[in-house]
Amino acid sequence: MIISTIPIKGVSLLFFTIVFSFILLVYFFAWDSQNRIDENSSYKTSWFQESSIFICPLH
Amino acid sequence: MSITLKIKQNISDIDFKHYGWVIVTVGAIAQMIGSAIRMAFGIIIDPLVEEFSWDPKSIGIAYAIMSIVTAISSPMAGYCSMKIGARKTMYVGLLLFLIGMLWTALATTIFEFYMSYGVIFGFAQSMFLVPVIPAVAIWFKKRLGLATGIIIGMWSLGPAIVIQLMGIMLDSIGWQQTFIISGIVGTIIMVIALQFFRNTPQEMNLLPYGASKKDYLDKNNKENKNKYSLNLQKIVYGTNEFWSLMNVHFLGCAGHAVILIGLVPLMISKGISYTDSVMCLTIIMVVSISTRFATPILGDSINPKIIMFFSFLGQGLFVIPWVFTEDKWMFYLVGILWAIPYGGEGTLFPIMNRKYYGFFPMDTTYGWQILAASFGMALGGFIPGLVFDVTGGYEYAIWISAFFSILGAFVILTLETTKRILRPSFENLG
Repeated sequence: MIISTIPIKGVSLLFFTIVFSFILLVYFFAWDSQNRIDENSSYKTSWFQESSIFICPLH
Repeated sequence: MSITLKIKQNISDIDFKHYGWVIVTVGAIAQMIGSAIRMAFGIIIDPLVEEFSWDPKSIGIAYAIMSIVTAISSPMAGYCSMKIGARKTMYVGLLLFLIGMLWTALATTIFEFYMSYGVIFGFAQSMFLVPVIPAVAIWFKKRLGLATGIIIGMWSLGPAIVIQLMGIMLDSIGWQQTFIISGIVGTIIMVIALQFFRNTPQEMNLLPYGASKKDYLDKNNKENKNKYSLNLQKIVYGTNEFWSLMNVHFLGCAGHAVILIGLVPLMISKGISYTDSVMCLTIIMVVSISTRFATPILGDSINPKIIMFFSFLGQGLFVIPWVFTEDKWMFYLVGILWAIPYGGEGTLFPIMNRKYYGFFPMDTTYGWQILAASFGMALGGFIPGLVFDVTGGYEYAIWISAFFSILGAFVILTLETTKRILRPSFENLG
């Protein structure tokens, strides 16, 4: 059986899962933060909420 | 021969006098106590709110800290188990368990509670739970499926019994006394149980269950074996299957954690009463005990990769009807259907490790898989609340759960066949 020295397939799939999970969290956090800002213009966002809006291209 | 006769023949062939079954019993007790730590959290929230007026969200942070500490310390627990042995590692876990129980009972500030329940219990849980399955695996060359099935079955049944007992004690003597008494009694039981625990069959001049002298006795030299094991661990890291199994464990746990946390709120949001919603979760737990027990046995004797694939696929597909249903009985029916693959989904990892890496200590490998599983549980537990905040419903969370599980099934398809050991270097351990 031929097995690569660097486990490219396994690491790539794990990397994809981590990136997807991160994107999912950022998307929902940004959505939540945007909703709060829209509801109340004087709402003070935390650094975490600001970062999620900044990173997410859809919000 | 009929299937019933085959099963009877199969059971009658088992040598229950082998000392490995004592190790399984000790492992089952350890699982019962270790997993009860996590489950006990639900019953102390109200008493803490009443006594200290702490905010439930602040109390919940302790649970998050515990999950993260358990996740991060799991590979370390696996490594400790390989270096100093499962027995000593479990003694360390037991000491931390006792300190955690007593400190939690005596805590008066939220910071103390974070330290006792979050940090101390987080370490205790990994030191207690991670070494058990790999230790049992060393004792069983054959029948590993049955041995792990018994232990993983206790993972569900144990907390159910312990929580009932703790609930009764809590009502009669208060939460602080309950924690102190449970801590002391649990420690005494485990100290007695660990007297019968041996790390390896060689410590008792025995062979692992199902091993022949020919393929085992020449590898009895302890020093050589440790050196051999640590070197081979590096080879394990170089296989795709090591990374993919971590990935699969993460995806599976994220997939079912969404349901375990979000199902009751979903049902309530559809007008079903709290009691009926909790009943659905109870049905799932009860049904899943049977597949937790049966799946490793099936996987060991048939093909773990195929069974794991269908478990993940089932876990992903059977959640989808919940998005569309409004009826209580449909929730129950789908719950029963979903519980079957859910129970089997996480139980095959020790069998897969055995198939890929042969009769080789899996402590560190299993520790990494538990790390991935714990992070998956944390992510999955977080999603329903977040989705509800933005959409006002839980339907998106169900779709996300389905996606995680089906992606897990896809990753399983990329794994090598389990019909042969992955690398020639493992074959002489097979």
